[in-house]
Amino acid sequence: MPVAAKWTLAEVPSPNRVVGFGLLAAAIGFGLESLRLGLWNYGMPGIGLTPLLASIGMLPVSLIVMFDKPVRHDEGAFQPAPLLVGGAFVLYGIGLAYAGLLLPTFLFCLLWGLVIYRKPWPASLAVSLAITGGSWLLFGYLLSIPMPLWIE
Amino acid sequence: MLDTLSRLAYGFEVALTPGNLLYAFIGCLLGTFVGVLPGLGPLTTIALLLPLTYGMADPVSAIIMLGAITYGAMYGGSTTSILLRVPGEAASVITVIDGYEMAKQGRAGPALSIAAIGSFVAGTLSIIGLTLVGPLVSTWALSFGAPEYFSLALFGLLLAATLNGGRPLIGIGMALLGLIFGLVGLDPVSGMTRFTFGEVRILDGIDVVAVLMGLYGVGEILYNIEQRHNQSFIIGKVGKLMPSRQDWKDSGGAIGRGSLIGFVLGLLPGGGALLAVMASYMTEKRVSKHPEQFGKGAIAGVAGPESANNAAATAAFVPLLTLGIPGNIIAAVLLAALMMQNVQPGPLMMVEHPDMFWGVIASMYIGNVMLLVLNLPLVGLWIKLLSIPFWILGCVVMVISAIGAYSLANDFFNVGVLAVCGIIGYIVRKANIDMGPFVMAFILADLVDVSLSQSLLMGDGSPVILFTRPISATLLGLAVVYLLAQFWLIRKARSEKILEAIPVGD
Repeated sequence: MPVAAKWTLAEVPSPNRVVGFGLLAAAIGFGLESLRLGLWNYGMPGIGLTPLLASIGMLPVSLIVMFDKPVRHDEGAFQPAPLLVGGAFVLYGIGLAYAGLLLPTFLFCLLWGLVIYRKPWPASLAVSLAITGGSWLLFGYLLSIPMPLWIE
Repeated sequence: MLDTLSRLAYGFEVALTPGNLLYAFIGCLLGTFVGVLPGLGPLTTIALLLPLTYGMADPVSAIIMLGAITYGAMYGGSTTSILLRVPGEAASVITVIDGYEMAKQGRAGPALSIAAIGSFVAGTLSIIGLTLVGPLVSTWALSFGAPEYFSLALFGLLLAATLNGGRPLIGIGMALLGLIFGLVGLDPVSGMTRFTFGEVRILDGIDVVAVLMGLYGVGEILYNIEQRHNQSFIIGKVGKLMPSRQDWKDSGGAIGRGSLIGFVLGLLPGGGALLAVMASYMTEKRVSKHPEQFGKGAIAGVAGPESANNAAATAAFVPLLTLGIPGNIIAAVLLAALMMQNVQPGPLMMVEHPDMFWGVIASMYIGNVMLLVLNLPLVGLWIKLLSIPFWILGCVVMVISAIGAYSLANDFFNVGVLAVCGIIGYIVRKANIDMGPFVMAFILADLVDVSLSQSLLMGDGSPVILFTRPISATLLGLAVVYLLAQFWLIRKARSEKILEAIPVGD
């Protein structure tokens, strides 16, 4: 049973609010930067013109999204499992850069099986080994992608 | 006409080389293989497999393979719709209604066959349409200048932002955000950097493939973790594949009508696949002698929408190949792939890259035949794939995505982009927001920016030029009328609860 089924993040703002807030932040941030880049330079349209127009268009939309009622009935609060996996995936990406392909892939798969899906040790271990070996075989050996395999 | 046929023959010459045939075969197989896996829709499949075509030396082969992946993935999506009631994409939602009912009655075989045959017929008819219409549109588009391109891109984005659901404003917001992110990097006109914040690895822009893999691959898996944890699918007996005489009788007209509706609505620069399948379903219900059977396993309810979906997908290639404006999100991804291969689709493509233009069209014919020959006999194998537990499948997809993102430029920066986009993909999916408009705008951002700048230069700084040129003014006028009509329709639909009346199952 994944941890998703155990508890929810009810206190976290709804996905609509988060998206609306993200749009608002992007509209303000990119809008200000567009103004800095310039709207008309050297007798021609500046590189800030198009993004500024887009930012201005985004402002009212972001506010509507923030306060709009969810359309679908099944939209619930964020669940911890996807966010946990998302975080682990970011760490996996960092791990790939510093520790190569094999160890981070193995650990990520193990975490996936043991923590997220609560699978027994032997199954998680076997799947982790199989995916790690398979990814080395496909990407490292057959496709010769120049990715470090181990800590260098 | 003869000229078109001789060019098409040249296209077949290109597509029928052993190498390209092999790529089409591999593409069909891989597309179906990944597309049939539960939780991975056609777009996710294409996004995941896109890096495979990166390193291919011949761009024609790369696009042929990608086209085959697209067809395969769409067929895979139909299989999961019918057998599992898991629509691979929004446009497959309608197939689920009667397809799954047929599967429950032990008639999955005929449903799958009719879906494949309907898709084949519709795809073939649409390709004939594309062959005939494409050169005409290309010739007409040669007269387009910057104002026309700006207005056309704007109109296309507007349609893309509003055609996929009942929240047009959010679609517009996402398109505007995509426009901004698509402009990150060096400005092609002035050579100045925009929104790079000192990061040299995004001077060429954010890699669209990493963005796609994040939004549609990783984001989809994260979403599936909470939706499909430990879910095991019960697959009914497929039964015999061959439809009965009555099935043929019920489906024949539906396939023809679906093909026509799909092709016409699919031509809209912004994509009309969802609109086409809904229109097809409603038409079939209206013309049927037994409308009460719809929703309870009517084969015409599978044949019509599946044909319309495939016809619309093929018709979307018309604006892509002739104007450089993608007709839907899948065409947008193909546009990105073409641009990665240094091919700019548009009216000049037929002249500058005839091998690509006609080769791709010919390969569509071949892909359709291959799909029919390959997939129906292998349906048993595809069904076996459905038994792979999601906890293994999801993990494999995450690992493949990470390594695939790295392989785009042999750089870990893209893995970071992938991870961030994956989390964003999950959040927007939770908010029930379609990222299609974002991706389309992301890909079209340079065209919009450059054509706007050039238009303003042509008009000595005044935007009035956009309204004084007939084609540009007509397109902008259509955009305004369309936008007003959309808001009116949405208000009407909300007040009359029309959307709630659509039977999409529980």
